[in-house]
Amino acid sequence: MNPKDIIIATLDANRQELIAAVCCALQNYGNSRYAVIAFEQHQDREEALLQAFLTGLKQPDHDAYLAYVVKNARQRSGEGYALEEVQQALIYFEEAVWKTLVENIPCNLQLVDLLALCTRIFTRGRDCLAQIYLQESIAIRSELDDLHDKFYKYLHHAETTPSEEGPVSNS
Amino acid sequence: MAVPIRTDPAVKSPPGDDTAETYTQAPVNLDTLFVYGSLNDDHFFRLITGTTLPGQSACLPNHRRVHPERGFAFAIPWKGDRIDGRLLTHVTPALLAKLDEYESVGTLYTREVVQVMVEEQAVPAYVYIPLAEALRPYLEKGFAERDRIEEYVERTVQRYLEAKADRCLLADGNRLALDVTRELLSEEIQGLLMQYFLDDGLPPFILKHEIEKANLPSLTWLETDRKAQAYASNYLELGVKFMVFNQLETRFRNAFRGHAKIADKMYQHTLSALMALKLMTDSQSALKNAMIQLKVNRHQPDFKYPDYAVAAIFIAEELYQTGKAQETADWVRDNHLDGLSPLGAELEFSPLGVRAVSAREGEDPLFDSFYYFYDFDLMRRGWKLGAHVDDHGFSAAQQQRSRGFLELAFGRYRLLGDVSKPATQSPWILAKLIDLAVRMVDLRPHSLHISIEVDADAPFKRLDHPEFFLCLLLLGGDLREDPGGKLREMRVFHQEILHPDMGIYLSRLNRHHQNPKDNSWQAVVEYQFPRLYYDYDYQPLILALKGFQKHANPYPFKDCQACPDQEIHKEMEIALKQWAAFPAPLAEQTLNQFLQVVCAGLETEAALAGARYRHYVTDQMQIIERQLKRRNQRIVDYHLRARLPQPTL
Repeated sequence: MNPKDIIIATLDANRQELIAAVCCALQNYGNSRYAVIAFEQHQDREEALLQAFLTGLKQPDHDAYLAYVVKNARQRSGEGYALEEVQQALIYFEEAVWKTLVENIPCNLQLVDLLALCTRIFTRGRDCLAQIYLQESIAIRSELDDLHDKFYKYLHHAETTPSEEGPVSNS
Repeated sequence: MAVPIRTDPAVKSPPGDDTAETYTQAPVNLDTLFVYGSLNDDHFFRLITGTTLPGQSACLPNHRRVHPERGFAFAIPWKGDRIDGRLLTHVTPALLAKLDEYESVGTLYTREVVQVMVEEQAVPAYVYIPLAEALRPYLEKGFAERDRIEEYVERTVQRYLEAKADRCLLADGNRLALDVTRELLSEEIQGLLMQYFLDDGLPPFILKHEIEKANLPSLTWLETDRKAQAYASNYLELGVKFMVFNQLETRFRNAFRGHAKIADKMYQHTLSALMALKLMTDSQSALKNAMIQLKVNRHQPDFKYPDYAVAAIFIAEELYQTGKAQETADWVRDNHLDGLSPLGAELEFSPLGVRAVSAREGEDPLFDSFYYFYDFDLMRRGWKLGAHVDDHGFSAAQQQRSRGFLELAFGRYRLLGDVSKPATQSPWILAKLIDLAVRMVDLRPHSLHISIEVDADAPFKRLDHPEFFLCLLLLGGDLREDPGGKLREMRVFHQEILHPDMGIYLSRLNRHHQNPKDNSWQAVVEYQFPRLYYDYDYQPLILALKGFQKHANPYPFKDCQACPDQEIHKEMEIALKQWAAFPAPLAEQTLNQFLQVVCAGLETEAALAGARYRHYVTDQMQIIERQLKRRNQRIVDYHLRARLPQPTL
C-alpha cells in the first residue's frame, strides 16, 4: 500500500475520535476565541479541515489543504483572531493526526516516513498562514496612512492650543 | 363651535389655471395658519410650540397632500385637487417664529399666504409649503414626523452643546469640538430627547441647564491611581470601541431613517445598532489596526479623554463608506422579519467566567472584573448597548465600584428599575445582534439571557413533561468535556445559574417598565441558562424558546409567586443537577414530543404573522430538530468512546 493511502485509510477509520479530540482541545484552549465556540461548530470546521488534508495528501502540491489554510487564514484574520491563536488551532489538529497515526500504525521506519510526509504538509500550511497574516496586515496599514496623519495633525494642534478639560465625573 | 376668522383683502382668491400664482407676494400679517400634516396633530404641535391652538375644519384648494409610506405629509400645488385640514387661529408672531424654525423656513419650507375655504368662505392663512428639492434627501432617508421633531430638538440642543464645546474641549471651537462633546454627552442628549417626548416638550432653559450640568469625563484621576493604571489600556480600548460604535450607529440612524425604523414600543436604536455592529465587525481587522496606529488601544499618559473620542470619530469616518453602509442597511432590511412576541437579550462577559462576581482584587488580569468601569465612564460610552457591570447584587445600579460581569442589555436605557423596551420582534435581528455584539466586544463571552414578553391573558400552566427542560438545556446549555475528559453540562454543573438560597435559575418571571413614569409593566419570561458562544447563530434557540413558551407556557422557575409547582421545580432541579454532572442521551420519543410542542407554539404565531414568516419558521424548525438530535447523538458517541454503559432518559 502506498504511504499516502495508509495515512488516508488510518485517519478515515479514526475520523470521529480524531475530530472529537481536536474539538475538545480547542474548547479547553485557555482564553482564546476557540474556547467559546460551540462543539458542533468545531466539529464542522475540523471535518472540513481533515477532508482538505486528506484530499491535499493525494495531490503533488497539496493544493486542497493549502487552499483551505489560506481561506481560513483570511477569514480568521478578518475576524480579528491573533495569528498565534490560529497557529495553535492548527497545532491541535496536527497533534491529533500524529497521535492517530502513532497509535494505529506499527512503529517502524514506514511510520517515520509517514510522519515526515505529514510534517512537510503541515509546515507548508503554517507558512501560508503566516504569509497571509502578514499580507493582510500590510494591506490594512497602508490603507490607514491618511488616518494616522490626520490624527497626529490634530494632536499637534491640540498641543499648541491647550484646552480646559471639563469637570471630572469620576468618583 | 366655529372660531371667528377675519378676512384679508390683500390676499388673492384661490388661483385658477396657473399654480405659480398660488401664493401672494404682498406683505401680510396674519394670525391664521392652515395645517394639514404633523402640525395638524395636537401632540406634535405641542411638542414643537409648547401649546395648542383652537382651530376648525378647512380646506386648501388647488393643492394635493402627499404622504409617502415612510415619510411625512407635505403639500404641493395641484390644480383641481384640495387638502382637508384645519385652520388654526390666534397664531402669534412668537409662535410663528418657533414654527418657522421647526420647518427650516428658507431652506426646507417656505411660509406662504393662501386662501383656504372655511364653510364656503375664503379666508387668508399662512401655510408651509416645501421646497421640493430640499425635501428630497429627507424623504429618501425615510424621515417621518417624529424624526423631524427629534431633529428639531437636536438642533436646539446643539446650540447649548456648541457653547459647552467652546468652553470645555479642544479649544479650537471647530466641528470636531462639537462632535466630541456630542459623543461624550450622547447619553444625556438621548435622555433629554426621551423626556421631551414623555413630557410633551421641555422648555429651552431645561435643555440648557441639563447640558450645562452634564459632566464631561476626564482621566486626571488616573494619574494618582496606580492600581487602575494597570488596567487602563484595556478599559480605554473598550471605550474607543464603544465610541466608534456610537458614531457609526448615529451615522446609520441619520442616513437610513427608513431602514432603521422600528415600532414605537421597541428600542429605537435596535436596527441602527445592528447596522453599526455589522459594519464594525466586518472591518474588525481594520478597526484593530487603526486603533494600534493611533495608539488608542492603550493608555497614553499624555492623551486626555477627548483625544480618545477624537480618534474614535476619525476611525468611524474611515470605516463608514457609503457603498458598504448601503449594503449593510439593505442586509438588515432584507432579512428583517417580525414575529409577534417582543424579545430581548442580555449578554454577560468576563475573562474569569463564573468566578467574575466573587473575584478577588487582581484576579482578572485584564479588567480586575470591571472594577473601574464607571471611573472610565464606560456606562455612558456603552449606553446604546445597555452596558453596565452586573455583580448579581444590584450595586451596579448606583454606579458604585464592584466586581462582576460586563453586561450588555439590549433595549435597557435606564438600569435602575429595569426601564427598558424590547429589542425587537424578529428572531433574526436578535440573533445577529447577539453574535455581532460578541464579536465587537471581543471579551470572553459567558452567558446569555433571552427574554420573551408573555401574554398577560394566557395563564401559566403546569408542565406535563418536566424532561422538556432537559431538552432546552441540551439545546442551549454548554455540553463539553472538562479537562479531565468528562462530559458535563457546564451551566448547571459549574453552578453558574445556581443561587445558593433560591436554586437553579433556568427561567424567571420579570417585569419591564417602558418608561420611568409608567406604573404599568409587561410580564417577561427570561431564560437564563443559555451559554453565550462566539460565532454562533442563536435563531434556532430563540425560536425554540418562543415556541415552547407559547404552547406549553410553563410557570417560570423563579420569581413567580403564584406558581403552585415550586415543589415540583425543586425535584426537577435535582434531576437537572444529576443530568448536568452525567449527561445521558434523551429518549427519541422525548425529543419528538418536545419538538411537537415547539412546533405547535411557533405555528400558532406564524399563522398570524404572514406567509414569509411561516416559511422561515418551517426552515428553522428543521434546524432545531437537527441541532437537538445532533447534541443528543454527541452524548451517545461520548458514552461509546468512553466505553460507558448507555443510559437513556
